[in-house]
Amino acid sequence: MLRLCYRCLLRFHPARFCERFAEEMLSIFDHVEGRALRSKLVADAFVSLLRQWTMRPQNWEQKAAASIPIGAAAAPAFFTLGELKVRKSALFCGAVLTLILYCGLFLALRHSRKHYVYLPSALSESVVSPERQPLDSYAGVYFLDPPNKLTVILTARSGHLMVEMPREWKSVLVPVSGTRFVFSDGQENWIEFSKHGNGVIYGIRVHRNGSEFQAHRVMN
Amino acid sequence: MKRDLNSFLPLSAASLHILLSLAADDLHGYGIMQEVLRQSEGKYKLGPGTLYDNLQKLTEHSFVLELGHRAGDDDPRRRYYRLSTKGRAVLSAEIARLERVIREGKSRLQSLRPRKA
Repeated sequence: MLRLCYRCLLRFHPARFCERFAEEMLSIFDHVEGRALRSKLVADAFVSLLRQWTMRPQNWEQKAAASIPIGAAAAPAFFTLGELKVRKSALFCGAVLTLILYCGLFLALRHSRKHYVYLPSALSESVVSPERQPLDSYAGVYFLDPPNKLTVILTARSGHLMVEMPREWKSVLVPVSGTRFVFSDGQENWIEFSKHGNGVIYGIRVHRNGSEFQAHRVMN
Repeated sequence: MKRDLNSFLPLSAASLHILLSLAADDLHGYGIMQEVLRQSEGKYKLGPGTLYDNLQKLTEHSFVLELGHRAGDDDPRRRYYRLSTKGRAVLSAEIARLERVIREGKSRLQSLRPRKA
């Protein structure tokens, strides 16, 4: 496998270099024993490949000199890229496209870190049916008490109550009672609603990541 | 001639070691690698990629001659290389340059006195 890899790397060297030295380099590879040493030779061939294609333009266009003696036993066993001339503009375009591809991939990975998962199976078992109250009655904007001065926004959408905390993604809240909802990402995080005697909600107590704070409702 | 050789100086570490290894005998690529390892007491490991890249330059400047295959060698893929007269001259010039550097370095270190704190 390593030999095949090494051979492929040699094959992709510029034609002039490949024709002159590939057989000898392969000969060295065959004389070296041990997987570690052979792996180093593969790495060396990779560096050599980069070096030849980036820093040795004289090897890109010219064929091997005709005067080089090549014995019958050393007939080239490589298919060379003799006619291939890599244009600088093509290399540049390739680099730009690669960069764009990597950026896109990076962004996709970054934005796929959190998903909205509603009702994990373990959680669903402990859910208690709350007293029937429309979710809209919980929705609204809540101001955290000083010194935080931040807002917590609760919205009811598609039958789910969602919370938007400062510097956090939106999370789904799961009802466990008429006044208490837990975050879908963990039961240890919850929101407790405070109600007036007539059922109107005026504030919340949030327990999130080990800290607890209170907020009062400012608008629906 | 002297001026021409000086334009190639200083030699890269790889080129210097390759020329040095060929100074004693004609060698093939693997032999050069082994000789460089021996000369440097295992501290400088020359990979085939670097070796042949430098050999290409050295043969183009006619510092090294390519002899081709040697009859009776156990691997017919090996090609032997020889240090040319021009290569020997450039190696001598590089060694003379290094000697001057070493002399200068030694004199500076001898004249260096520890400073008072």
